[in-house]
Amino acid sequence: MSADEGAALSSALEDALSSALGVRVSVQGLRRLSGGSSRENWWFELEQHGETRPMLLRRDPVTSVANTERAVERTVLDALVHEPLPTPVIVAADLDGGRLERPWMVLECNSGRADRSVLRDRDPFRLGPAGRLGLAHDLCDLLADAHRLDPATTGLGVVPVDPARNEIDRWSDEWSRVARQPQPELAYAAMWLDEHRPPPPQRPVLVHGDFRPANVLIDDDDGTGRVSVLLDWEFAHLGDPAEDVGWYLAPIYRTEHLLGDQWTATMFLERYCARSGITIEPERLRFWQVLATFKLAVIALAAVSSFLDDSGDRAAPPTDGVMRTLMREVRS
Amino acid sequence: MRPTPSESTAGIARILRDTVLPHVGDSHASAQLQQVIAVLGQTNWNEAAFQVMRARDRAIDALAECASWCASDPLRVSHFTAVDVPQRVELSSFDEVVQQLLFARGALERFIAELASWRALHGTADSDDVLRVISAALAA
Repeated sequence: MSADEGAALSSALEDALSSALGVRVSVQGLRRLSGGSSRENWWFELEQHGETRPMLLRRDPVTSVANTERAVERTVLDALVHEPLPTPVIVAADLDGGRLERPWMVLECNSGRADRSVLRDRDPFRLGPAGRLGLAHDLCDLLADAHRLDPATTGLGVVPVDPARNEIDRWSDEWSRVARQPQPELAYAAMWLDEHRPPPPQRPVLVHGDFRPANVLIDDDDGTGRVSVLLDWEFAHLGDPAEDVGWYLAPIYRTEHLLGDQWTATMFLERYCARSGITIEPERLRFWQVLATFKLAVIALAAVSSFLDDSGDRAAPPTDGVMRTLMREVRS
Repeated sequence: MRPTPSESTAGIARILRDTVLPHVGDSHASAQLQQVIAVLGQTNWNEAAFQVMRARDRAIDALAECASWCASDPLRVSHFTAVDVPQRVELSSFDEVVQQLLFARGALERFIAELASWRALHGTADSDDVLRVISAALAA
């Protein structure tokens, strides 16, 4: 984006926020942040009544790698504002786009930063082995706590009759939307998923849909690595708790989400089940782990599609690797 | 002197990483440049054409097995669309090989969709072998 385009966006945002808040405000220092494959993230300072506060603008890109439901994130965040879960607070939003041309929302900017490799050996937050293990425990507890919320308080309506069927259909539809070439691997995996579909869960929950270290802000000011906020609720829905667990424990994420012998998938499950009171059978977990890789493959496909359409500004590698991983999983 | 495709892309990636990247001040532009460098490194450029040819051959071999499996049972013949196995011919350009690969993968995708409905109707036992052939071809 050129300097002129940046200034134009800043001015449009200023007008949009002034209109939404009913008071003239000023936007300063608007700058695009890295990351965010389904939304543009922009940091800025909002000046109102002589006070400045850091804010985050989340705006839909021209084309998104995931056709997420725009209203979902707003609904969930509004509903969760009084729940004991660290979630972002919406300051203003316009899902029709209005002055900013594409749907957007402005969130209060929490302290901390996100890094998908926070648990890895390179230790970007300098937490040390004990600190990283403590953070891994906190993440597990955070997911369990999210799953303990009453689904009725989330504003997301009724629990689907068959959550597994719903998610297979949802990601198959997304595959159809972005496909530019035949993908027999996805056809094969869709057949496997359909044949291994688990029955509906005994206790449906609020599923985050993208729960992983990359989507939490970590406050490392005191060196302890405390979770400041859980972000990216755009995939949230009511469903099977094993969906979030399977996503977190997807084999493709093993080195990023676990800590070798210190924090294994078994340890994660034991702690999660003890805290949430939810039992997850091995066959159910396996289904959701394969669905997680299926979903990742579709998202990778969408990224390549966006790249080739000249509509995205992020280079995308071929999807061969994730397709092979998917096939290995359904064959094992 | 003719650098190989891998040598050229490795050199370009090195210049982007060591010379250009340190001077990119904008965090978004810097992240996109790092992604460009990563993507350049994720493909074996010298092998790219051969990988496409091998994938085409695996897909054609798997299709031939599928066609044979279908033909061995009249009930299958009536359920499945005729499996069109492309002839493996000498091709003169990368684009031609890619087109043949896409044709074969399209035929495989259709076959798998029909196999899914076959298995739902007739059970899974009689198709497990052909399924293994397909999955081996796709996982390679």
